[in-house]
Formats: sequence, structure tokens, C-alpha cells
Amino acid sequence: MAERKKRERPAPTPTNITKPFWDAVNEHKFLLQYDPEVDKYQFYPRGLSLHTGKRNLEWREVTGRGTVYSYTETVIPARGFEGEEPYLIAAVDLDEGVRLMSLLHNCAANDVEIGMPVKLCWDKINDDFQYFAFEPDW
Amino acid sequence: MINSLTNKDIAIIGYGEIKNVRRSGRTTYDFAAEATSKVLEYTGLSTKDIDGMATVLPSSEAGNNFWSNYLGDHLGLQTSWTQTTDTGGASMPGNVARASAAIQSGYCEMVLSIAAATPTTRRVDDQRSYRSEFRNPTGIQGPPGAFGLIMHRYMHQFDLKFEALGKLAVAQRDGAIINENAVEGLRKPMTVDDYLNARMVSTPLRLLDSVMPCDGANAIIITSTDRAKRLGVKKMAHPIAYSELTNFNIHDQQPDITDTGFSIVGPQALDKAGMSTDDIDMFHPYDDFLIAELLQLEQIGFCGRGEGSEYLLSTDISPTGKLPMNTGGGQISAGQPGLAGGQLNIIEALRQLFGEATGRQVPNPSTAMCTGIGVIPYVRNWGTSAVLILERG
Repeated sequence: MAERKKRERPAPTPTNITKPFWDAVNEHKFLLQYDPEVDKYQFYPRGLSLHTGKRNLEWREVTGRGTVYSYTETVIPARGFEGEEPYLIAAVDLDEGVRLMSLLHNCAANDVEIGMPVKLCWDKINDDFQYFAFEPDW
Repeated sequence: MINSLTNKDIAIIGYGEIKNVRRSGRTTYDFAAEATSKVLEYTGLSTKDIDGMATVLPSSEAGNNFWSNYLGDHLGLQTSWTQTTDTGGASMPGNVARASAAIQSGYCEMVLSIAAATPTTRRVDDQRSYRSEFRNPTGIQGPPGAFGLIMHRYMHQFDLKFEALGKLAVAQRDGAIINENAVEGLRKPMTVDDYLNARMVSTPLRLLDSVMPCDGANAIIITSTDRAKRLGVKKMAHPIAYSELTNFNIHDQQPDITDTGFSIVGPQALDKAGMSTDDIDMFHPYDDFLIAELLQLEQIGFCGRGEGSEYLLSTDISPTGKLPMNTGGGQISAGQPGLAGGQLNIIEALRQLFGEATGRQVPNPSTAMCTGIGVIPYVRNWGTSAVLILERG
């Protein structure tokens, strides 16, 4: 296999909508948008409530506990992940009722199972940026 | 249910397609020009006969927010109706419906539906929102990664037989070998074992589950059936039903990702046409990945949910079989000319309906179903599902 040159890992560019989320991530806190009218969370962050179309959203800190909805082991790496393959990506259903996607740390490919409990952990992209990830909640 | 197409007052009267190539070094405009020239030659029309243009925004020109203007200008078209659709691989089947509606409303009479893309020469697309913040930084391998997630979830809920996907891959490859417009590097035989032994990209998705991007272009001409008859056109195909759905289940934050909009638009399009799946002589589904075709078979209703593997294994999908599928190789074996790939399988359906699929002709087909898929959203299944049913005139 030809050796792939390591490129820079893509970092998010916070927007006026997502800045509170990323500011919190950089302090190792996980916020979700919450619609108090229908008592529902949503992810990814949007400019209005998915459920009502109103702009009445609040940010709430959540525990980051959930289960693996699905997973894939990346064999051909994405940009910025050259040399780290193979690595696991999981789709995670949070207890708060939203689904998100991230690296799954501290878990061998043979050990991952759909439905297994996971918890939030952190991942450094660069000196300025943290990212969220998950690991098994054994 | 209202269906303005049932009376067959719209006709597709010709197609033009050029060879798919990797890294051509040519512009999207040049590809569009060659495909346009071909369809004009096929129909005996000139650019001055065209008064409507529909196209797709390709990644090779996505930085141009005047794409329709520039493209029509380059091609020498004066148009009274102009449309760029940007629902990815669903754009071109969608344009058949949009052009039909425009013709029925009197905005234009003769539409060039042109798709050209050169993503292996130039890419200038820049998708923000969930993609730049919540997808790319995770390390997921783009669409193959997303479909890896879909496949593992499918395997959790249903029985997925990789031999069935391998059979589909081989059937399409057999078509590409005799399709002179297929990417040259893909025109070599493969076996089910080749598929099963192919390198993993993002488990359980293999390299041979996936399309290979290339540069290419294709075009069709859509007009009223009246006008076609006045022109003395002998071969035509009528779009008789179309349904599309974007952002299926968007309010569900934890949806079943093995389900898509095809569960709605498949049965809906058949209902509009007054048909069942038994009335479909051949199926030309959008094929970015093999699993997408299996999901469509189930959700449109060729078989039940979870029965896709068994259906593929027990059904002859060759040109002379019960349900011929993507007889020209589809995108997976002919190459995916970027978002122009959304019209590739329509072109093959027309070639078959016109009796011009030399070496792979389906015996006397009178109907075809083509589909389109657009965009991979954030941890969901695809964003747009489109079904188009064609009937020979």
C-alpha cells in the first residue's frame, strides 16, 4: 500500500449558530439545543426548532451518555487521518433523543456492538480546537 | 391522485451520451457541448429549435452562481425557461418532471436536459453547515463511510447476503464490458469472488460496492407529444409518472436509517402510473453503492423489507431476465460522471426502449423505472429520493 501523506485534520469553522457549542466543547462541556415548548433536543445545531419552526431554542448541558446505533471501521482514511487507519466511527443515539457521529475511542473493532453503551470523551484536533468523541461505557 | 403525466402528452425524443473518462483535463463546457451536439444530431434539431434548458449544478462548476446563464450562453441557447436543479443525483430525473411541467404550462416547447460534470479534472464545491463542522472533522470516509454505517445497521436488523450484492456487481459489469461509453478501465470481467475479496473502504463496504468518479456528459430532449408527432419523430418515450421526496423523516432525530423516501415515492409513482412492480419491464436505479439498489428494491416494493438479498439471488437481472437492472453497467461499472451520473441510467433506459442497446437489448421492453438519489445528510439516509416511470411511445 502506498504511504499516504498526512494532511491537516479538518477543524470546524464556528458560525454564529454553532459558536456556543464549540466554545463549550473547548471547555469539555457538551451542549444541545433544546426546545422548551415541545421538550425536545436537536442536533446538529440549527437556526430554528426542527419541531416548531420557532427560534425559542435554549442551550442545555447534557451528560453525553448513549448507545451505538451503528458503526464502521474506516480502512481507507479520510483527509487528515492518514496513518491512523484503521479507526472506528460510531453513530451514537444519546439518551436525550438525538443521534450524532464521531470517532469511537478505546474500543477494538471486534468489541464494538450495536446497542452497546457509550459515553462522551474528548479529542484534540489542534491547539485551538477540541472535538467530541465517544468511548465504551463498560 | 393527480398525475399530469398519465395522458402521455410529454415525450422524450432523443438522447446523447459521450464516453466516461478519468481526468480528461477538459472543461465541463466542452463535455456539455459534445453531448448537446450528439443529441441534436440524433434528433435532427438545431440549437435554434431549443427554447428550454434544464441542468444540474456539478461540483466542477459549483462556484458559479450563474451556471445556467453561462452554460446556455456557451451552448448558444436562447431559452424562455431555464432551470438548474441541485438535488444531486436526483436532479436529472427531477428535471424530466420539471421540464414536463414547464412545457405543459406553456413556458417552452423543446427542452434540452443537459448534464455535464468533470469532477476528476476540477472540484470547486464547498459544502458548509453539517458537513464542514460535524462530518469532515470526524474522519468518516465521506459517502463510503455513511453507507458503511447504513450497511452495518441493515445487517443488525435484517439478513444481508454479500453474494447477492456480488451478483448485482457482476451483472452490471457484464453490461459495462459491452457499453463503449463506460470508463475503459472498468470494461473487464469480474466475478462474485472478486467482489467478496475486494479491499474494504469503510466496513462492511468494499471498493467494489462503490462508484468510480469520472468526467462525462449526457443529454436528452423533452417536448410535447404533439410537437414530436408534427416533427415526424418515430421513437419516443413518455414520462408517465414521477414522484420525489426530500428530507424524509426530517423531524425524527433518531430515524431508522435503513428506510428512505423510496418507501413513499416508490408506491406513489406506481400508483400514479396505475401500475404494480410486475408492470415494470426493467429497473434502472440510481447506483452510488450496491446497497442503495437493494434498499430501493425493497422500498419501492419489488420485494419486502429485509428480502432484498433473497430477491437478488433468486431473480434473473440480466437483459433477458425477469427484471433487467442497469443493463449498461450503471454508474458502478460505467463510471459516475459526477452529478451528470443522475441521467446516466435514464439514457440507458431510453436506449433500451428505443431498441438500440446493441449486444444487451432487453427483448421488446415497453416500460422502465429510473430513480435518483441526492445528498448524504448528517447521520441519516440519503436526502432526496426520486422515481421516474417511462413508457415507450
